[in-house]
Amino acid sequence: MPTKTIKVDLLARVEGEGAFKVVAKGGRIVSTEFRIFEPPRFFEAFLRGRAYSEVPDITARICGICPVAYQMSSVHAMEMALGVKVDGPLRDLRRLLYCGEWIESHVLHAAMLHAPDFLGFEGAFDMAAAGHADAVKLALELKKAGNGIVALVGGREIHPVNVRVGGFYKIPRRRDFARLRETLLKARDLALVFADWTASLPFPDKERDYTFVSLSHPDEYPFNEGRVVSNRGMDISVKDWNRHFREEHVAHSNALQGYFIDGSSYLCGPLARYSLNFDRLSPLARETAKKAGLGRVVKNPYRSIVVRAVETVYAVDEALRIIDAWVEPDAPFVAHEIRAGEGMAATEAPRGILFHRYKINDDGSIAEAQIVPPTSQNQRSIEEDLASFIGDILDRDEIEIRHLCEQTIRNYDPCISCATHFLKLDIARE
Amino acid sequence: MAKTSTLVIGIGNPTAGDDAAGRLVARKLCARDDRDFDVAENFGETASLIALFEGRSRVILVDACQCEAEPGAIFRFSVGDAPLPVALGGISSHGFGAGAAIALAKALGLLPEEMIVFAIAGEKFEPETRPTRAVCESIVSVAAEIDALARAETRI
Repeated sequence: MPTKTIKVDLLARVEGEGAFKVVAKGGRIVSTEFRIFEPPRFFEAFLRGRAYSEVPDITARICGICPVAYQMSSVHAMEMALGVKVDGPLRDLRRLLYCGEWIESHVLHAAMLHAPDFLGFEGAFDMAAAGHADAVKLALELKKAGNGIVALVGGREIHPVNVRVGGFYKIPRRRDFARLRETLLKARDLALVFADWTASLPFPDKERDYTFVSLSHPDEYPFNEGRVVSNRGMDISVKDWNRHFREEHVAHSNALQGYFIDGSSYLCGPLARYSLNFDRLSPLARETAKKAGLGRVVKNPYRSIVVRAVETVYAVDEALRIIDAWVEPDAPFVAHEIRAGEGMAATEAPRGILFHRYKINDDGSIAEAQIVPPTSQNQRSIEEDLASFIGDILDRDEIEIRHLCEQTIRNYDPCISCATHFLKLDIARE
Repeated sequence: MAKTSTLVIGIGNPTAGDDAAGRLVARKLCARDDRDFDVAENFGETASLIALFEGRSRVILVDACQCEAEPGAIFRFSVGDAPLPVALGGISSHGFGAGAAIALAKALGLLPEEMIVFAIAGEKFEPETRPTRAVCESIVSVAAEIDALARAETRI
């Protein structure tokens, strides 16, 4: 029986180094492998013995695209361990910082990395040179608004340095927001145009009955906190994460693969977040989704580019809401005592749930660290997508098959550099 | 304050050995009070670099590079219609960099009328280290060359 192998040894337009292999026999897919060969980075190991206060800045270095997510998940986990409650204007400022990261990350991925797949270009440069310069210019302008938020609240655009356990090192003054507010008002209009543009792209007509997992909060679209919920009835506290989820090493990937404790896969990220929290989007974002042709639940992963655009509208809208209501706090952070303890937290990185857990010694040093990034959790779903979506085009030209495979993987905006931080390298070979 | 027509951008990571070269050139130029050009520092992120190009007729970029040349070797070229040097393609897939910023600005018609790139060959890029002696010497000479270039009325 003829065997056909579709391989890409270096996947482009993703964060980090990865590859994939699809093997078909007799017209049927027999295996799919999403391979992450970026070397392990051992963050969880070298955090041991470091001061708890260093962790937000160290873990932020895991990713240049979503450093805010690492800072947020780590400070929330530390605060749980130390018994610190951060609310009011400081909590709002964290939410604002997250808005900035979502805008930066979603627009970069949607316009520069993913859109070329839909329009048949090798990359954003070709796409821009072939009649789509206005869309790319618009995206760059929109991304500037995200950069502006992160620079103002986080201290700089890339790898912000202003986040600490208990709050921030320095708080902006209310008047500092005036210029940013003007930028965001323009960005909101740009985001609406951007959403229209993504909705006009041609989408493969493919769906899967995913198990969606995301955070859910009763009052807000989730960024920093919430319960972990699914569309299959899961509704748990973040504290119970390790009772419901597992990670394991597979020989073909340098990143641990996440799954439910019963061995089944799930999907986290924009599609899950949107489908489980549609009612908590702002009215403008809901209206944008409707105009873009999205229902309340989206199961076509190729439409994740539209969902990212809708979430960008939401992030701009939410940033303006926060700025307009914000009052300066009395102090930039909540003071706290060091004590031994354990804390965990999950926040919504642009790509999905980012779980952190730390045990702290009584001198404030880290005894144990666990980091579960979204790309680890989504690896199995990526492989299942490849198995589901490629089968009916196996008789086509290999370039076409490879293109659809790559587009399918990029639906996830995989952050491979985030996923390769794990603690133990344990490869069993026969 | 109004923008000047010329902007010098020093690119790099100030805490990673020779990668600080571009930024240190920028800081040297910044310290000169009588200059009539603007100076900026940047980590090399594409979108923010393109934003910096806006409204400038001449941009001079300075960055460290990794190549087989002797540490401290200085390369200079003008960005025109010719393809960009292959080395500007970058060595990482983790994000877009200065080379991508130039290529994208070119595709979008956002390049300044004149763009000159200085690259200083580095040797060591480890975090929390200082630049090597050879690179430090080149930082001084590149700063002097850019200072003269930026002040020159006649463009190259």
